[in-house]
Amino acid sequence: MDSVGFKAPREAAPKTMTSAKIVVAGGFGAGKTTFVGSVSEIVPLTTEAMMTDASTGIDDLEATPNKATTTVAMDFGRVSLDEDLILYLFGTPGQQRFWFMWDDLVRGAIGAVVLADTRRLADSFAPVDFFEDRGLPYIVGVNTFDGVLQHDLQDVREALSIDPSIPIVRCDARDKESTKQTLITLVEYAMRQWIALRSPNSAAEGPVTTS
Amino acid sequence: MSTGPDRTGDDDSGTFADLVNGFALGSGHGGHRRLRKGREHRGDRGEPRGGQTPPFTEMSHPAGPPGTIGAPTGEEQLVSAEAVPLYPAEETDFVRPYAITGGRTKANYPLELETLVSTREAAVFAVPDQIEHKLIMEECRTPHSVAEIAAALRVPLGVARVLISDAADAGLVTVHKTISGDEGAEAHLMLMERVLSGLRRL
Repeated sequence: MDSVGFKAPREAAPKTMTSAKIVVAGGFGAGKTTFVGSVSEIVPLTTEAMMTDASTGIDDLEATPNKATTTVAMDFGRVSLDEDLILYLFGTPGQQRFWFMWDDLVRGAIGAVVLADTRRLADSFAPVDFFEDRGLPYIVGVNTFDGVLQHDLQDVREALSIDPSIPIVRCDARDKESTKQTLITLVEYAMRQWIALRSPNSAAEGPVTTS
Repeated sequence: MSTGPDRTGDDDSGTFADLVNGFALGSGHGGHRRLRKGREHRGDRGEPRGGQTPPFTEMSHPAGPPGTIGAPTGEEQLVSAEAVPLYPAEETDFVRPYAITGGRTKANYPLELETLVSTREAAVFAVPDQIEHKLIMEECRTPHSVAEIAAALRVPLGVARVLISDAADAGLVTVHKTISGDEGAEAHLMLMERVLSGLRRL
């Protein structure tokens, strides 16, 4: 590194790159990976996590007692939005016991899309609770498998008992255009909420109030 | 004359019994100590394995009544039989993830999942000692996130964070600033605006 002086001075600092993060949550089989994959420029990658005592008695490790890591289904994809801007989409780990990773996931995130499968709506309760608790803006995307919307969006809202201000959209996780629209809806909502929360006189508008 | 041999006989039998007892007790103690050590060791690892505790309690019973010559040897065998499968199985199965970091878990940089890392131009020809650093440098020729590096290296995130932190300390890579919601409200709003227009262009 001392040889730098010998060479012609390179660009002092490399171009600053910026990244942003959006969380994609939902129960097992809700279409998270499909959703992420539909816009990602890379095949969704997976990170591993340590399996610790927390999983004792939950994971069936009878056959592999010495296994200390497990592959966690925390898929993520990457979307280059500009020369110096990369958006990452992180699917939440499906297993509840990886809650400790959720803190990493939501920190600094723009917001979250909760993908709901109307056949297993209860799977959406935990993510909704978590994001409300952390004050992370989220919208609900009702994944229409086979293009068929099984339930009225209003019914879904009631079933999830979420605030009327929180957008609920229907989406097809396989379709890039649909995924894009869902993400746009989320970012617009997150910006509205951000501004509402920070402007002093319109605190009442803030939809964050969880009753 | 007659007392002499008797005494010696007594002495002989006494010393022999002592010897036997001493042997039995001594090895009994040794066994106990070994057992306790084994248990402490277990505690250090912080991973009580349910299935392996019962053999220990069973083993402490034969050690109770001393004097039987068969018990110590049997115990020794049990201890060694217990100890042998434990270590090879743990070590050959895989390398514990934090072994790569020398047991360290802290990173010197705020490394979020999406924090971008890129290889420093000045360090392109550097030859790092650690293979992981080399891999990170190869991965980050174009900026890649912490999560991508962890996935590429096939290590848990916590391990990747320490490795990246070391590589940055060594001047091999640059850690780009991450805009988080907490610091700089304006910056976060601007980021959202940029993401929004970027998505619309997609």
